[in-house]
Amino acid sequence: MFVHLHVHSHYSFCRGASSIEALVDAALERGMTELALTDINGVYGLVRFLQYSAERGVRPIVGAELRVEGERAILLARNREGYSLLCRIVSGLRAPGFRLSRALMEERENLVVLSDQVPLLEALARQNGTSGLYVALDDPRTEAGLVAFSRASAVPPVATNDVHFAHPSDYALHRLLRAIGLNTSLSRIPPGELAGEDRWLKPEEAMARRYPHLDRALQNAARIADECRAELDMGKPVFPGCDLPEGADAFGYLREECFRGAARRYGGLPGAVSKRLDHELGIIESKGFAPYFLVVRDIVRRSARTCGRGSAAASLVSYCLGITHVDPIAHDLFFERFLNEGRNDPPDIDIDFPWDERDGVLEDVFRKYGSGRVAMIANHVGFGARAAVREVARVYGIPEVEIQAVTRRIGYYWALAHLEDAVRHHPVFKDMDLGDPWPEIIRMAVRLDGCPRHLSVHCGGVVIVPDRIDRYVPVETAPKGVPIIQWEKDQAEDAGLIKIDLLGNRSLAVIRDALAAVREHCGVDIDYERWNPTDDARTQDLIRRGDTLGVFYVESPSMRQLLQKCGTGDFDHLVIHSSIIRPAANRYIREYVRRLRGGAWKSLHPVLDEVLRETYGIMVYQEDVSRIAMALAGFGEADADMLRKVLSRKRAGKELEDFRERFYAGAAGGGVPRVTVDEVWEMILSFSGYSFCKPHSASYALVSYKSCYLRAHYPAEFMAAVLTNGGGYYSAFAYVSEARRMGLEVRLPDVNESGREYRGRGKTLRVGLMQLKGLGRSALEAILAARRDGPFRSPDDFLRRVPIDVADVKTLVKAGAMDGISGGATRPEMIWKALQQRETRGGRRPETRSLFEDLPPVEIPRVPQYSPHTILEHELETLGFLLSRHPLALYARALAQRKCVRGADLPGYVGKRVTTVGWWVTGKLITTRDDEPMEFISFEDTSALYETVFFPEAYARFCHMLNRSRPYLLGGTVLEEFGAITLAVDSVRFL
Amino acid sequence: MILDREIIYLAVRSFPVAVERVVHPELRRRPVVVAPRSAARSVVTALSPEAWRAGVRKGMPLARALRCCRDTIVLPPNEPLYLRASRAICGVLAAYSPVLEPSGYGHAYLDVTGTGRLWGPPRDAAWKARREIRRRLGLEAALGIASNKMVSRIASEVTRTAGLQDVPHGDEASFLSPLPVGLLPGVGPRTGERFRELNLSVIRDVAAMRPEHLALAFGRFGFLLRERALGIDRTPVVPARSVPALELEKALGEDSNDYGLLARELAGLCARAGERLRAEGRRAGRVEVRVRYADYGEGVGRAGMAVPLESSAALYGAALPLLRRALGRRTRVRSMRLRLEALSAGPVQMDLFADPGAARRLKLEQALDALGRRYGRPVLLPASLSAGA
Repeated sequence: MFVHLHVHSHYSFCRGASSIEALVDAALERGMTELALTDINGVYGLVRFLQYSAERGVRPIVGAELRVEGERAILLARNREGYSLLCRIVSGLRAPGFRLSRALMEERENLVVLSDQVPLLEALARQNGTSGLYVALDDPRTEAGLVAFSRASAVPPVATNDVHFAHPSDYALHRLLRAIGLNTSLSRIPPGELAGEDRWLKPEEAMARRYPHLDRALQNAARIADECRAELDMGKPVFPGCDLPEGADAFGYLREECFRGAARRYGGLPGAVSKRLDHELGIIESKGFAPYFLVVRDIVRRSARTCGRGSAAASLVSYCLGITHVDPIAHDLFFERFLNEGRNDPPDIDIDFPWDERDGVLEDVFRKYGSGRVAMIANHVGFGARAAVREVARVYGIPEVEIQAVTRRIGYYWALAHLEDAVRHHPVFKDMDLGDPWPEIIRMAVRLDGCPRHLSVHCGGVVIVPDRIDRYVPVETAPKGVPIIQWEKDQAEDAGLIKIDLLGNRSLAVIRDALAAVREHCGVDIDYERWNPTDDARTQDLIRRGDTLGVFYVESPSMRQLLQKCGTGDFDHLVIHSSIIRPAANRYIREYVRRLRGGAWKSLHPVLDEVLRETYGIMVYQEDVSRIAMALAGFGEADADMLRKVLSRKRAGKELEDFRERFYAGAAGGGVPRVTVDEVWEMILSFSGYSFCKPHSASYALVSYKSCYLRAHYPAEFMAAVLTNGGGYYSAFAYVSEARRMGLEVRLPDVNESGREYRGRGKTLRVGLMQLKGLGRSALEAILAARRDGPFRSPDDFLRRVPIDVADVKTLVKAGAMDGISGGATRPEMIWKALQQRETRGGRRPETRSLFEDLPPVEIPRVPQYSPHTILEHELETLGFLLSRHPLALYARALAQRKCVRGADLPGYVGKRVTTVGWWVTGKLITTRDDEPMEFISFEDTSALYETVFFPEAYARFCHMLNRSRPYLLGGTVLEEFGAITLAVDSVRFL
Repeated sequence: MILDREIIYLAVRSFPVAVERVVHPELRRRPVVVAPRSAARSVVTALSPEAWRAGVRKGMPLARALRCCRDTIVLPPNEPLYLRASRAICGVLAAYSPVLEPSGYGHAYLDVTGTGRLWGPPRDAAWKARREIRRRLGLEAALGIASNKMVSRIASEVTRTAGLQDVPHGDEASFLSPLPVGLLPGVGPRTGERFRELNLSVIRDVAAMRPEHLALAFGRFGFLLRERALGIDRTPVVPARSVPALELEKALGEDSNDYGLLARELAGLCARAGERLRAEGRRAGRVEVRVRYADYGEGVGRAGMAVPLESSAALYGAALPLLRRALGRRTRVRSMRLRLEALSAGPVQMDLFADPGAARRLKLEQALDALGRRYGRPVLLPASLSAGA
C-alpha cells in the first residue's frame, strides 16, 4: 500500500495550496489510511493534522521538509524522541552557519531521512551508515542518476510525489500563491519555483503507473510509513517550572504566600476567607497547578499596576497573590468558574500591564527564565479580505491606485469567503463598475480564504516550560527579535502548552500618569492596590449619565448609550454592562434594559431562574452558556465547557452543529418544550465571537471605576493622561473637543510650558510637544534638555541653546509653540531667524554656501504675520486637528443662514424632524439580521457629541458621502429610548 | 548693435481636444475628454473646458469622470494626429522666424528678434501668426510676447480671453509682481511650500528680497529665483535638433502583464523596425525598449550593440533582455516603444566569429522584405508573429 511521504499543506507558506483537512479528506477518498505532512522548515499545522486525522481515522506521519542553504531533505519522526530531534533541528536551522548535513551527522537515529541530493546522502551514509536513509524519487529529470546512485550506494529508493495540492484543479491556486510569495506575475515565476501540474495527491494506481519499473520504491514508502510511529501525547498540560526558596515545595510555598496575601488584603483572616482559600488550594494541589500560580505572581510583581483578567479573577488565590484586584468574596465570584475538579484543561490567566511597560516585563521574563524555556505564541497571519484582493490584483498587474479604489471599500471585518456576494450587493460598491479582470481577481482572492501566509507575534501570549521549549515545538525568531513557537494560540493550547497572556493596556498607563500628576499637583497619594472607588458618588453619577469619554472600557458610543438607558451607577450593574455589550447581543440588550427599568418579564424555564437570577433572566456571562447547557440539556461539565469554547472560535461550523443537536436532544429528553429550546439556543448563539465571563467583567469594571473616578475628580490630569497615552476609542481631536466641553481650556503647545506629554492642571490642558507631527524625537529631547537651564527668553535665545534642524523649528513655529517667546516677531520672521541661525552655525553643506558667507550675518527681513487662514492650516498640518477653535467655527457664516438644532438641544425634539450640523467623530458598521449593512455614527457640533443611526436605506444612499474632514447637514428624526437620544438620519448634505 | 530679444510663446490649451475638434467639428461646445479606451481603468489625459466645468480633472479615472459628467465624449489618444498638428503649427511659425523651439505638443517658442522690417512689431507678427493658425488649422492659440522665454511663457499662461499678452521691454518685473510665486519656473510643490512658510506668496515679495536673504532660504538657487522674479531669463531659443533615430510604438489592445504576450509584441516591433532599417540601408548601434505601465509609470532598458544590427531576429535577440530589464514592476503594461539609435549606413566591420546562421537569417528576412514590397503587404510571417501564436 503506497503512502505519500512528501506532502505540503498550505502551511508551506505561499506554496502548498490545500488545507490539512482537504489533504486528509483527499487521502481517504483515494483509499489511503496513512499520510505524512512535511511542510517546509516547520510543523506549523501539526496539532491540527493530528486532531483531524484522528477524527477521520487516518494515521498521521509526522515530519517536515528542510530546505536550507541549498541542502534539502525530508525528515520523518520514528517516535517521540525523533519528533523532539526534528523540533530541535528546525529550531536551529535559521542560525547562521547551520548545515543540515552536519546536524544530521550528529544525530539522526530516530529519524527517517529522504533526500534527492547525492552529496548529502553520501555524506550521511559515510558518517553513520545507510539505515534510515532513502533516495527520494520525484522528478523524472533526475531519476536515472538517483536510481544509479541508489544501486551503487545501497541507499534504497523511495517514491514520492512532492505533493503541493490535494486535487489537480488546485494547480491554479498554487501558481497564484507562488506569484504572491515571489512578488511577481503569473507569467514570470521562475520555472524552479513552481511545482508541476502533476504534484497532487495521486491515488496509488497513478503512482504505480508513474513507477512501473520501480516497485521497490513504492513498497519502501509503505515500509517507512510503518516505521514512523511518533505517538505525541498532545493535550497533556506542560506546566512552567518556578524558582523556590531553599527546601520549599511549590504547593507549600504557594499556600504560605496566599495566607500572607490574605492577611494583607483583609487585614486579618476571616473565617470565610480561610475556608475558601483551603478549598481553592485543595483543587490547585490536586491538579498540580501550584507552580503555574507562582510563576504568574512572579511576573505580575514586575509592575505596580496590573489587571488580572479572565476567569482567574474568580479566584481568591489570585486575589491574595495580587494577580487580580477584585475581591471574589465580596462580589460573588465563584471559584468553579475558574477551576474545578471536572475540568481537565489548564487554567488561563491573562494579565494587563500599562502598554508602555509591557515590553519591559516581557524582557524581564525572558531574562529570568532563560530564552530556551520561554517563547511567545505565534499568530498565523492569513489573508483578510482586503489583503487577499490586494495581493491577487497585484499579481494580475493592476495599478496600485485602482487596487486601492477597490480595497478601501472592503470592510476590515468582511469575511473573505463571502466576498463575491458582498461585492455584488453591498451599497459601497454600488457606483463601481468592476470590469474584467476584477471578477476573476475576486474569485481567486476568495480561494485564499484560510491560507496562512506568514507568522507574526501574538499580542501577549507567552509559554514557559520546565525544560527546553524546542522539545515540544520548533522555535523561530520573529523579526522583532523575540523567540516564537510555530503554533498559534489554539494549537498551542490543544498541544498542552500553557499560555500566559501578558497584554498591554493603555488605560492602566492613563491611571498611572493621572495618579502621578494628582500627586504632584494636589499632594494626594492614592494607593493603587487598596484603592476602591466603587462607592464614590461623583464617579457613580458620571457612569449613570454615560459621561464616560476616555474612561476605560465604557467610552464607546454604544456603551455610553447603554449606560444612559440603564441609569444605574453601581458596580454590580457595571459588571453586567461590561459583559452584555457583545456583537451579536443587540436584541437581548434591549430586553435587558426594559427589564432593568422595571418592565415585566417571565423566565423561559424554571431551571433558568437560579442561573440567571442576577441578570434579569438574560444570559450575560460566558459561563451562563455552560451552566444552562448543564441545567437544561443535561450536559456534563466538560462538554458544557467545550460548548462555551466552541462558540468563541472563528470557525466553529461543524462542531457547533454537533453541539446543537446534542443540546436539542438533551433538552427534549428533559421535557423542555421545543419553543423554549429554540429561544435558549438563539440566546446561546449570541455568544458567538467574543464574550466575557463575570470575573473578567468585574476586573475590568474595577479599572473602569478607577479611571472614571479620576475623570470625575481630576478632569485636567485625567484628560491629559488619556491624550498622552494615545487615547482609546476616539481620535485626539475628539478628546480635545470633549476636554473643551468639560470646561477645560485647551492651550497650544509652548516651548516653555509644554512637556513631552500633555499636561493638565486645574482648568487648563496644555498640548504636549509629542503631538507635533514632524517634530523629531531628538529635537524634542534637545528642547527639554536645554530648558533645564531655565526658560527660553526669545527666539534667538531658543535657537542659540537648542541645536535642532530648521525643519523642526518650522514645525514649532507653525504650531504656535514659539509664540510665547516671539518678542513681537511674526511667525515667518522666526523661521527667517532659524535660517539665519543655521547659516551662522555653518550647518549648510559647503557646496550650497552663499557667496556672502564671509560677510557678517544679515539682518532678517521684516515679513508680515501669516493670514488667519494660513495659521489654521498650519495648526491642522502640525497637530493633525484644529485646536484653537472647533472646525465648525470656520463655517459660522454658512451656518448662520440655516436653522440647525444644536446637538445639546436634541432631547427637546424627541419625535420631531430636525436638521443638525455634524462633524464625524466615529462610526460603527453593523449588519442587520437580513444581512443589510447599517451604521451608527457619532457626530459632534460645538455644543455636544451626539449619536446618529443610518438605517440600511439611509446607509445605502449616503455611505459614499461620509468622511472625516468636512461638516454635514444631517436631517432626521430624533428618537428616544430609555432616555438615550439618537438621530435617525434620512438626509445628508454637504455644508 | 545688440538687439533686444523678442520672444513669442505659443500655446494651444487642451491641445489634444482642440485638435480633435478641428477634425470632428461636431465635438465643439461639448464636454470631451481624452483617455485611453481600455475599459474603465484609464485616466483622463486631456479635457475640454466644458468637461472641466462639470468637475472633471486631468488625471481623474475615466469612470469617475463619466460619473461627473454623463454625456462626456471619450476619445482615445491619437498621437499621430497630435504630431501632425504640432508640425503644422511649427510650419506656420517657421515662416516668421527660423529660430523656433517646439516645447511639447502644441507649444513652441519663437524668437522674432530682428524681423521687424519683415513683419512689423512682434505684437503684429504674433497676431498674424495667431490668425493664420486659426484660419489654416482652426486652432485657438494663446500667445505671450516678451524679451525672454520665461516671461513670454508666463504671459501666455495668464492671458485669459484676449489670447495675446504683450510684455513691453523693461516691464518684465512689474508684469510679474502681482502673480503667484508658483508660476515661476523651478517652483514646484516643495519650493512653493517653502515660500508659503516664509510668507512670500506673490512674485513681488520675492523680487523685493535681498539676494542674501533668498540665499539663506534656498542656497544658490535663491539667486536664480530672484533673477526670475525680476523677469530675467537668458536662455536662448534653441531650434530642435533632429536626432537620427527610428522609433516604433505599440499600444496594447488591453493592458497586460503576460510576459509571453509582451515578448510577442516586441518581436512584432522588431520585425517592423528591421524591415524599415533594411529598406533604408541602415543599421542600429543602440537599442532602447521602453514600457509604459497602466498607471503611466515607465520602465526602460537600453544597451549599445557591439556590431550594428539590421536583422529583425538580431534586434529581437538584443531587445528581449532589455524588455526584461524594463519590466521592473508587475503592473500591467499599456504600451511599448522600441527606439533604435546610433543609426549608421555603409559597410561595417564584420565579426570574425559571427554566427553563420545569422547571415542566413538576414538573407531570409531580405527575401521576405522583397516579397512584401512586391505584393504591397507581408505575405510571409515568422510563425511566432502570426495571429495564432
